[in-house]
Amino acid sequence: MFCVAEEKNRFYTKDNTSFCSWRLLIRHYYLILISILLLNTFLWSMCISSGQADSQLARRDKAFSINFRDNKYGWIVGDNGLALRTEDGGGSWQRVSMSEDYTFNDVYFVGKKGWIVGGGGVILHTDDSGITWSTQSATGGGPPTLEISTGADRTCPVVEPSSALRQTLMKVFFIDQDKGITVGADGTILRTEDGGINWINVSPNLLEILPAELIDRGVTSVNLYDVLFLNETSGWVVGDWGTILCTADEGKTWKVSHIGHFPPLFSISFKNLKEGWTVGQNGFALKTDNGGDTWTKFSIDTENSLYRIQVKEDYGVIVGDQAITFESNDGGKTWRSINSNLQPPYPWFVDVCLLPSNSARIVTVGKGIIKDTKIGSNQ
Amino acid sequence: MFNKIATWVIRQRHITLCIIILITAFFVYQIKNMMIRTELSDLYPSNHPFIKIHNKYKDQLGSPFKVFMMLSVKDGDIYNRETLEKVIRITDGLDAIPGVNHNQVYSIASRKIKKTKVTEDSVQSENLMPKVPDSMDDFRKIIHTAPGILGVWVSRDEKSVIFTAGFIEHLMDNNVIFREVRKIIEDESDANHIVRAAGEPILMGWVNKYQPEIYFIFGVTFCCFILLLWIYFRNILCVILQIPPMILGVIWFLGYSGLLGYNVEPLTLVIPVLIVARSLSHSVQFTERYLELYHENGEKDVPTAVIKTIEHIFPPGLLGIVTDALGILLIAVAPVPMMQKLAYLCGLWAFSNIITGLLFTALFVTYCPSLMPRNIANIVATEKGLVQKILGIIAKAGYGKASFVTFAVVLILAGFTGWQASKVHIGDVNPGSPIFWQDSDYNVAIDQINKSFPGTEELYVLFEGPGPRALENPGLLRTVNSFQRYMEQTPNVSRTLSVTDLLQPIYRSIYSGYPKWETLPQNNTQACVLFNSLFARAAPGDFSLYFSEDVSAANVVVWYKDHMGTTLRSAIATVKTFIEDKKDLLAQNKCTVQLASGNVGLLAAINETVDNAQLLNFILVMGSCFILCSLTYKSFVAAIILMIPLNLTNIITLSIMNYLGIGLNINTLPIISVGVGVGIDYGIYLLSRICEESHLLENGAYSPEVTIRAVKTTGKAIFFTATTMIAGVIFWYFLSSLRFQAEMGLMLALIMALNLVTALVLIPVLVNIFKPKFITKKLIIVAG
Repeated sequence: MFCVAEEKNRFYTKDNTSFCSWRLLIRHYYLILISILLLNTFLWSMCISSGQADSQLARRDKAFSINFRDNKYGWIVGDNGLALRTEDGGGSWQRVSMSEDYTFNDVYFVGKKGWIVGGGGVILHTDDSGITWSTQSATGGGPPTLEISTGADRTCPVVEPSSALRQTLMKVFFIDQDKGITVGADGTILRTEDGGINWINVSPNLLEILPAELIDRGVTSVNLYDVLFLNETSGWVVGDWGTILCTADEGKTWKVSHIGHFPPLFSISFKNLKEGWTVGQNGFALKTDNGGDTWTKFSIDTENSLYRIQVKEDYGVIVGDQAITFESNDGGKTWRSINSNLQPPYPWFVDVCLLPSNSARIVTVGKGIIKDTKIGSNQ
Repeated sequence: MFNKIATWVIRQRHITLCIIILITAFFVYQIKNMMIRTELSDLYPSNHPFIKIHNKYKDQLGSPFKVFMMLSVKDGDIYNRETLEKVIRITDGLDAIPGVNHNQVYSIASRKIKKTKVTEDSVQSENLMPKVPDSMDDFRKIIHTAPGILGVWVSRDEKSVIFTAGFIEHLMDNNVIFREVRKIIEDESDANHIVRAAGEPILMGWVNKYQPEIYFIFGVTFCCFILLLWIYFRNILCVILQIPPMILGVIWFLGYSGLLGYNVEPLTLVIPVLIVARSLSHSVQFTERYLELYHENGEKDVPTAVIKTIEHIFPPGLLGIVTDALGILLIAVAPVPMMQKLAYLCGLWAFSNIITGLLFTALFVTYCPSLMPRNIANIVATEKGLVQKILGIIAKAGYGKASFVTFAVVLILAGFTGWQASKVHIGDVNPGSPIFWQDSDYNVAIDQINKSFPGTEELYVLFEGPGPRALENPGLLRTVNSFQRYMEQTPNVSRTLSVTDLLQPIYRSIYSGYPKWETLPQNNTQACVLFNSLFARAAPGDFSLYFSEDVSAANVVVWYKDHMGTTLRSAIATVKTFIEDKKDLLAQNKCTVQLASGNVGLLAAINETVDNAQLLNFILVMGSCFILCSLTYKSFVAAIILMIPLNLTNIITLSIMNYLGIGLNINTLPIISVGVGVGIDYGIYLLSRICEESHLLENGAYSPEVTIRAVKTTGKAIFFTATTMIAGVIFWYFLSSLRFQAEMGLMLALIMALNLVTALVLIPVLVNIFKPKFITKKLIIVAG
């Protein structure tokens, strides 16, 4: 409506059918002006909403274990329910939503079946490559298992570990889809022959195997940190006080290869049935050339603790505190330090994975870090 | 009524003057109790829930206002004897400052920062650097390996070390802290070492250091007032006539401060100066009108001219003073002691202008009748001079077709600036302190510290359990840890710290140092063992920052890089979202999350209070001005006409604040409020004069001539008033080393200038367009 003629403050429109009073219009405008002013005042008090960024691995994240089923499919687990998976050989990692109450210490996959063990004796199991997880118990007759979805927008419910044994489990190893062993705190060794439906406690009696001098010093507990099977029957376990246990009957019974006098041993690896290595606290390392009959010290140029050793054919890698990494290209005879190219303060590395055949890469995990390194890149 | 009062006052002028002198003498005596200083506790809005939480935990957590020092090496790194000796000396120096909380002195040389050594069968904890290490290579290795040192207490480039010192609030004295820290800086700085300091006590120390400069600015402003008076009157007597009322006003203000025991805040001294200018303008308005009437009466009868002037000037003058005072007093709606003290002190002073600015001037004039200026004709002339020419142009824009064009331009301006004004920020807009320029020593120190370390801005969030030893519940510890991870995912958070960061490394140390044990305990027994292990190595107060003495509540420190308004709002919103998201988990662990302490918590409380108060303040100031004007003119239309230029000024001011990057905070809110109260005066004087001029017309008919005459007569006085006000504050912009004072000076000058222009331009326009009826009514208000 355009006003085109003026007569004493009244303005007529073109068709002369209606008129508007400027005074009325402008008086209404006062109200509009005041309203705008008040609206502005309200607008000033508008809060700015905060955003939430999700990074692959935050400074506070602790990745404890990495496992690749094949060249493509792999998992990383860690503290506070940390779980990541890759389907492109580690090119990208997707965070899987799990309850923050879990501490996941290890993950192991055989085909589509996988197991995660952790704090408080928790054992999670999947039959579908990690799409759904359920809890398993040590006695096999525990409460019904809870379905846990790992869908992107669902968080796992808090699950009380149903294991009869509540000891923290550190490592799990499966010989095939049925037979597996897990080890943990206070000498715990659990064994299954049915893919984890039933876990049987095969822990040795520590008081029987501990040397008298340690018992005299009040030592009654040995934490076990690593388990490894070389074939269906022969396996190894290492732990506190230089403990090395071995089995020749699929883990049903364990005998002492070594115990006492040594610092804690955190990891063990065998290249074949005879040649093996174990590493531990403050750079301590042992090797055997005779299938564990005798263990001798071997020299690693560090005082940092070493948490993981992996030897496969001619290539070997050791990782530990202060992002320290050693590699061997002669089947474990000699070890040399690799520069991590990280800036201080250096994180600890607790697990390393030699990717299955032909990829010539290692993936290391630790505190706030996933590090993908091409073998030989530091040569 | 005013005639009777005026007649009585002038007849009893000796008695009235004696009373004023006696009151003044009383205030002179009270000045001895007056203090110019900043009190940190005055910044807290005591009723805000954050402040209640702060008060609950302040004995445990200490003052949130800490001192941060940073020692940087220019060439090389910190690993040399000379630098590490300085580190020890600076730590000892901070620990020796009076009022320091000895449990809150942190650096790599303090006993609070420890390294842990794991052996085969034990865990040993010892001070990180009890003395200068013998081997620098070994020490470098320790810095690289000890958890939570590099990047926290030693910069990642290993060229800087940070020191923090907390203080006991009732024992701390900012001036003493500032002096001692400056001494440390002087002693330890050399060609290869730079020492910087930041934190609230240092900031306040700098403000106090600039106090002499404030007195210099006062001096310059006073000289400028005198010069303006000379330009206006071109008569020494008229200039001298204005000085006693001004001095009287200042004495009364300082007396109020002493009497009420309120300290005068150095940072907001711009507002008292504005009131001085306001007082001056009242007395100038009075003098100018008196001379006009005296001249009209043939320069014969002084008392009659004074009585007539009182009759003419007092009604609009009183209304102006009441709106001034209301604008200032209503600052007190923000329950921040600093703002309330400012409101009461300056509000009282503004009210006093009735006596010191108007009445005293009237009395003073009667005592010097024989000294009347010879150039009265020139003073009251309305057709000469540059000002008159400008006013003539403004007057022409206010009637006829030009008035519609002016109105349309104003509408467009209102729309655009209203849009800009809506973007103004609450809180600080820049990192660092808004009190200083970005290149000031203080802000450079803040910038450097924040670049090298987690930050100087700390938010404390408290997780309260159901009772003593509640923190030994692993569920509660996991909740705290979950909160830390949640916060660390948000932008601006550089780091968090809590008891969980102490427990996890101990847990790992106990179990051979294996990283998979670097977790939270699985059950109460393990948690209890860990706490016992902590206490076994601790001195009293070692963990006061982390948890309460009875282990019932955990404190999470969240570090931010700045305390800008957006950062603070985001911080509080994030915490509240966490509480909402995790309410079941919190309930399950019987845990209550309490916000907030730390300087970020307190500043957020202040910002929230200002944010809430600014709306209430705005409504109350506008509402009371509206009611007062409506009652005085017996017309709502009159009130609306007066409100329009005022609101326009307000939104233009806010849009300029947005453009200049000035946020609405504890310091700037009073400026807006004062701007409204003071700004309406111009409109009142002009509208009253328009009414008076229209009464003089025959048959009460309306003519645009009334607005032209009002603009040319009262416009001149308004022009001088505004110029005086602008002169009173603009020197802060050019002379103050403090950015805050400079910007506030500029802002107030702008507000005054905008009020002048909008009143002179808009009121005639509105009157000429609407020709409101109240203009021709007989009113009690008449022109100034």
